[in-house]
Amino acid sequence: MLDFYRFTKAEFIKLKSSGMFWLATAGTVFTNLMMAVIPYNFAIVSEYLEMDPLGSWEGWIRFHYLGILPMLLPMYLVILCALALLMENRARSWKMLYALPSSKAMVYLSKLKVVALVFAFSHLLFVLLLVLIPLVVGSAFAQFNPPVDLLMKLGFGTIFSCMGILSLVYFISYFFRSFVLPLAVGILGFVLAQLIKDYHLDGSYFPFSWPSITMDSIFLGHPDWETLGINLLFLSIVTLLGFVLANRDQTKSF
Amino acid sequence: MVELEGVSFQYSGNNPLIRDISFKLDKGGILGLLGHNGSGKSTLMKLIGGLLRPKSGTIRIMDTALDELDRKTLYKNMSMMIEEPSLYGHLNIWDNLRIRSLYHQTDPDKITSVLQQVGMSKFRHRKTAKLSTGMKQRIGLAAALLSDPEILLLDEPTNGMDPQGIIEIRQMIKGLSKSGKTIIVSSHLLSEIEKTANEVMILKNGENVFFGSIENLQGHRDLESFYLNYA
Repeated sequence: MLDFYRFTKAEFIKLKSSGMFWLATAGTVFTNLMMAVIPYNFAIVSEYLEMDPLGSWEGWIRFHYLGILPMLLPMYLVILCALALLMENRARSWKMLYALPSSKAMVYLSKLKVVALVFAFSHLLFVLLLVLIPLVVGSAFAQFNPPVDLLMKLGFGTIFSCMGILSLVYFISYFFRSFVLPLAVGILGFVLAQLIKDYHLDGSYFPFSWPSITMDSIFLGHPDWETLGINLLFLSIVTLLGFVLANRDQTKSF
Repeated sequence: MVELEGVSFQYSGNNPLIRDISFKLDKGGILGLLGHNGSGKSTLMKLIGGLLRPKSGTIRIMDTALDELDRKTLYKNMSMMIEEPSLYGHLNIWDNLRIRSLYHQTDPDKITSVLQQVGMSKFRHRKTAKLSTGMKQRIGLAAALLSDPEILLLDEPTNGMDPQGIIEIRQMIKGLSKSGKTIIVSSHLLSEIEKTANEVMILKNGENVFFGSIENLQGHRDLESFYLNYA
């Protein structure tokens, strides 16, 4: 346990001024600004998404969550995982990481934990900016109180619903030490999830469908606990598999 | 301290990279591995460091077979710098060494002393991406010394260093040996090994073509031709 704490601390030091750090902070701010620029400059009233971004808090939130997030999230997770591993490839540190007085799986777990925390941080920052921007700009709907309950459910629901995808793309990035493969999986996953949604198929067992199912269910007022449960089970299984394989991992890339 | 018995290694389906290597190095000894590029020096280091598993033969560290040593004991007592130092370019020297000290559970104060040892104290806030090759080598050495290991594996440690730096590192290695550390150092430069090691092994295509004391090697009148002839 002490080893895990020290390894996690080391991972946090690695975050300083790293690509991951900038993606999580500047990348999130940029996304929020982009999302704000569009409805303030173009009239967007989407019947398909049942929203009017500047009509109410719910319309504004729906625009953010249903407009672009389903596409951004899988790509964001792929890039986040790739950057976390790229850092080690660039530093040529795998030899060093495999010669530490601790189990090799500690490296796998501590890095996964930090990637998950960075993702959670960036999503909560996204939610915070989503509320702040209309208040600062002085939008008409911002005179009412934001629906904190909905935002909390969406914020944390999205974070948990992405853990399945995160564990999968992290697993692929870690063991294949490749950027292209997880990216291909991310794109394929997103396309399949869209098809599943468009054709009203059951996506309960497809990780890339889980964020969308969770968001929809929260907007409908009936959070889908079953999908969240499957998601956390999937996260546990993939992480356990990664733990076992990381311990057995031989130094093929040396 | 370090003993190899008939160690061979090859990647599956390829030619052997290390063939039947045996030697014994006592505590406080410095073994110099000599050989041209691609002779198997780094592969042998990786085998001794437990990063690769031999196809056949036995490696004993501190009188225990490497397979039977648990990772904690092995890597508390052994440190290595193989090929190039592992440094995070976006971080400064201090942060890079802090990461190592966390991994090895060493006191952060030790960072100051190892930086002094390798003559890099005044650069502690410099980003490692901006360091010269020689400076990176020094930081790699500092990182290897952080855990105060009994055994040090140093692959071409003076690579890219200026003459002054080479002399300093050579003296440091000798000093470490005097304090009881067992060191295996590799180089393709005969002059370097001659001035640093007390035992020498010349590798050619993964094979041990000469093993003996440095005095033994120096006994040959034309040392350079002798080395070139073997390697």
